Parts: sequence; C-alpha cells; structure tokens
Amino acid sequence: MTASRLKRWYVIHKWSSLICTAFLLLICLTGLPLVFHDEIDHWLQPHHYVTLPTGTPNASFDRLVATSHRIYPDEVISSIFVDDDEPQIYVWMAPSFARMKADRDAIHFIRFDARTAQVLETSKPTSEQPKTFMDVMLALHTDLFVDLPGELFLGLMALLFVIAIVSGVVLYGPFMKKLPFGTVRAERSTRLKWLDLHNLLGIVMLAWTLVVGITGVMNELSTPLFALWQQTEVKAMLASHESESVPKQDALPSVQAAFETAQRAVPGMAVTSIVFPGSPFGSPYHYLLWARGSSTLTSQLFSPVLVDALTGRFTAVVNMPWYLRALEVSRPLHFGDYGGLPLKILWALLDLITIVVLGSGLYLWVARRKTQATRLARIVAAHESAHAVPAMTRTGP
Amino acid sequence: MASPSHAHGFWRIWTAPLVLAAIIVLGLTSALLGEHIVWKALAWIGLGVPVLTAGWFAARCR
Repeated sequence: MTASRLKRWYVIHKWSSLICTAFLLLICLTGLPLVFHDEIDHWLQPHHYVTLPTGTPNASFDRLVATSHRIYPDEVISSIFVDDDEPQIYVWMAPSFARMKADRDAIHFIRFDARTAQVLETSKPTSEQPKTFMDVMLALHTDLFVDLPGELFLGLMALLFVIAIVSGVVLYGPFMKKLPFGTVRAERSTRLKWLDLHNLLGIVMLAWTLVVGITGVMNELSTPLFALWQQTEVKAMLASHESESVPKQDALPSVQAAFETAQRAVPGMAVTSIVFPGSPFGSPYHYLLWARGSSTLTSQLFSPVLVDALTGRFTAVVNMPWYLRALEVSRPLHFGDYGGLPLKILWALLDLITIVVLGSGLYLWVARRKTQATRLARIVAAHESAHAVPAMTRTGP
Repeated sequence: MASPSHAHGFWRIWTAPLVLAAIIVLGLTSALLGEHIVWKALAWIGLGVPVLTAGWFAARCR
C-alpha cells in the first residue's frame, strides 16, 4: 500500500472512531445489563404461579377479553400477548384507538395467569409508570429517550463504528508487516504497549464486533423498515377491503376462534400475539395474529396471519419482505440470547473487551497528540534558539 | 501478479485473524441452526476461543 493511501485509511479510522467512541462506550456499557435482561427482570420482579399439572391447557381468550372489558368497560383492547417462557398472558388496553394513535404510551396492561384466567396484575398507562433501571438502560442503548431521531442517530454512530472496524482491519496489514501475530511490545513505552494491544484485541474479536455492529445498525432501522412495509405491501393488501365497514369492538367474532383459525393456517408455528381490529398496529378489518416457528432460527421469523373481523374466517398469511426477514435474523445475532447463559456470559466478556479496544483507541489518540505537541514544542524551541543567536549578535556590541 | 514472497507475507499476517474469524462465525451460526446441546456447545467454543485468545495475550504482556 502506498504511503498516501495508508494515510487516507488512517484518517478514516481516526475520525470514524473519534466521532462514535463516546456513544459506543455508552452503548457497550448499557449493553452489559441488557444482555442479561431476562435474568435481571426475573430477579427484580419475580413472578409466582400456582402449581398446576404440566400440560394444563390455557384458558379461552374470550374469557380474558370478557374479564378485561369488565374491569375497564369504557376502554378498547389493542392486543393480546402470549408469553412462551412463563404461563402468563398480557391484555393491552387503551382509552381509545384515537388516544393510542396520538400517544403510544397511553396503553396499559392486565396480566393473567394463562391457565386459570386469574388476574395477576393491572398496570398504569406506560406514560405514568416510573422508569425502571432496565428501561433507562434500554433507552440509553437504543434511542437516548427521543424515539426515532435517537434511533437514527445511534444507528449512524453504529455505522461509523463499522467503518472504524473496516478501516482498522485495512491498517492492521501494513502495521503487522514485520511483527508476528500476538506481539505486544510491553517494555518500550506505555503507548506502544497499548497500540499493540489495541490492534491485537481488535483483530481477535473482528468477526464478532462486525456482526454486532452491523446488526446494531439494522435494529436501529426497524422503525422505518416496518413503516415502509406498512406503507407499501400492507396498504396495498388492505386497499381491497376499503368498501367494508369497520367492525366495532363489542361486535367482534370470538378471539378464541380467530386464534384457532390462525393456528390451523400455520401448522408447526405458535401464535404469540393478537392485534385487535382498529389498532394502529393492525388492520381495521382483521384480527392480526403474529405466529412464529419453534426452532431457534424460525422462532425469529414471524408470519402475520389475517382473520376477517366480520366473519371470523381466515383471510391470508401475509408475506414478509426480505428486509424484515433480514431484520428478524439480525436480532439474536445482536442480543446473544440464543445459546443459553454461557453464550450471554461470553457476549458480556466480548463486550468488555470491546470497551478496552475503544478506551485504548481514545488513549492512543490523546497520547499521540501529546507526543506530537512535545515534538512541535521541541521544533519550535530549536527554531527559536537557532534564530536567537543571530539576533543576539545583531544587538551585541 | 503477487510474488511468492508477497503471498507468503500475506499468509504470515492474515492466517491467525482469518482462522479466528472463521471460528467466531461458526460459533455465531451454530446455536442459531440447531436446538441440540452440541450446537450450543459449538457456539460456546466458537466465542470462547476469541475471549481466551485475547485474555492469554493480554495476560502475557503484563
């Protein structure tokens, strides 16, 4: 590589890193507890359930819906979420769909025991709930408390991180020309030791940081990607229903029947949530049921099933575009939650090593500026003393 | 065309990083593809190798 090209890559590496480092450090630090969010949630808010024989079937959704309407008679149900880890079902409600459209945090939930239909918990609206530690970690990690602008901004920082990694790899080759792999020159100077460690740790983890960086960018794009799908394919599909009347919530066909219809349409998959007709996240004319596969990989791939909200008949399994499939596959690769606790621990260790690489990069930049400043001061001093002699001779006798 | 010594230089620098990257990629994909404990164990090994490599070299330079 020519010296000028090398210098160009160095400049790219320096600036892409410098701009994103502070945010990446924040992302790495908040990512540490987020890796273990399941364990931390269970520990902070342990859920207890009555012991029932294994294989006890779930209660009918119609029962949960009736109970929810009895507790909040003036409200609408927006969705139902079926947990697959614990025997619990969440029914999400809002004062109205108009209110929900204006403020996403106007929704609240009732938590049921999935088998007995007993109410376990009723929540305040999301907007009135105090932020938990994990809420704060998640916001700092994903959107800095400002929703879409924050997501796009941190997505851009993640993109700079990916550029920093790629440029770092380009610089690694020429840097290692005369050094065997794993060299750390610890004895000569602190700066040289950290330079070698920065390069070594960076290259050892390269594939992991690249994957987590790229999937991080993808995740930050999920809001616009889902909006794109809604504005194009979903809109086109619902256009044929525009002449139909929009059903009212008290006149809907059985939810349990809709669930069973959808379940029959996607054998081998499990329905995990039901979005009610009229919800901003669903269709005005259908129950929208999200089903997912049962293996590690297919459990990430969701298929939306539509059931007609007037007749209760199966309408369609909606095709998911490639960019949403890519987004779905990228999730576990970012979260590290698909290989048990040992994988999570390794994920956290790799995250810690990334913090060391980021920190050492920052240190190297400061140290380099310092040596450059000392060198400059020395040159200036030399220059001044060289000029001082003739000046003295001029002013001398 | 690259001279033999040039190619030799390439492999001297890049063999270890490429092997490590391949191990990580295998680890990342294995737990995604299979449910069995063997697939998960492969993932633990795949991501354990870079952690141990980093730890070993870092400990050596102290």
